[in-house]
Amino acid sequence: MYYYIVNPNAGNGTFADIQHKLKSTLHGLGIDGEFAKTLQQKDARTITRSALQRGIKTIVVAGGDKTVNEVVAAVQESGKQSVSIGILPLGNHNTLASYLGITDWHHACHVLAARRLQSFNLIHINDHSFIHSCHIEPKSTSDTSQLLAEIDGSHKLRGEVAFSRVSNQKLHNVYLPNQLLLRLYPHQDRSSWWSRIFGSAGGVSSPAQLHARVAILEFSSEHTATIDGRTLHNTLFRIRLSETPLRLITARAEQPDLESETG
Amino acid sequence: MSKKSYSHPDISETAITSDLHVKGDIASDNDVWIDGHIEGGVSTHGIVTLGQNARVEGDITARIVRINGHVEGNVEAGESLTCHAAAVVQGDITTRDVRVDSGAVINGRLTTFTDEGQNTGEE
Repeated sequence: MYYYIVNPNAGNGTFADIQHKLKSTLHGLGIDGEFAKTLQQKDARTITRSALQRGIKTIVVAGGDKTVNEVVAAVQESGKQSVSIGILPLGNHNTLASYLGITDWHHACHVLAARRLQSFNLIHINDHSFIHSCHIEPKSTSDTSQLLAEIDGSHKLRGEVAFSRVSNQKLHNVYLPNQLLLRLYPHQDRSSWWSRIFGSAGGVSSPAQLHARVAILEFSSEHTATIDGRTLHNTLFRIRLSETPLRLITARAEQPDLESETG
Repeated sequence: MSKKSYSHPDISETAITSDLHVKGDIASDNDVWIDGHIEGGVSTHGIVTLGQNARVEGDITARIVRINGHVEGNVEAGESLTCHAAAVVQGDITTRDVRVDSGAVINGRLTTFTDEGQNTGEE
């Protein structure tokens, strides 16, 4: 059975406008199920825990990035690897759905019915976790950003960066394995360094790019990490991939690493 | 958040820009672009490219190596190696196929080999 967790406030109340069409579409596709609505922030996490205790195996989040992240975090914390997560993108920000190739709620219904599963590892940063991306920049724009980074314990890197982004490279390209993708953006406008190598016209900056399973970023001043609307302030960010992956229902057709199954 | 536009490397590529200094060895399964300073070796099954600002103090091992910066160490390219005009290599080079542009400097032994691994020439 599919268990739908709905944030009725997502996307300025989108669910209220589409719920009859949505439920009819889900019924037509044979994937109707139980609906639970959130009433306030962090309800999605509580509802997910309760659903998991009841043995629910497929949870579909109808909402935006914040609601998705609450559900994803609760599933991860439960340690239940057999649970699958789907998304009905109803929020103002639907970044993860977009990464998974899901364009809108109607498309999402067909994606849920097709039930193509792929595994993705969460990313832990200090005591928090997220699934798609994190933006790190100086808390004060006047601060300099000297960075000392340790990558996989094998090499250290230092330099000045304007801001950094962390994501799972598999969300960008499902052919690639789960791995941290670190992008370090330079301060000044600089021509792209490969255009300098080959002498073509530049004018666009290029970030440094590194891959890792574990990275420690230490900045010379306090920085703010923004994760799905939440913010962390620190000078030190310990970043790693989760040990166990989550199963997401995706529209991506390329070489799914888990076989489709019925739920 | 910056609103500047950026050109991004391919997702799987490792890129060390000119403003970065790395200490330690970089081992990758993918292509590596370097325009910064590395105190350590670089090894990959893919392509290593050194830009004009690149300085590598360590050995480089890759399938294909393209150099337009400085290397202080030995370079082994399983398939081919190209030294562009600004390349300076202080170390030995071993590869199957080599191209050296006018202006490139190599201070070391150059060894080429065939598919069977036989040396075909040294300079």
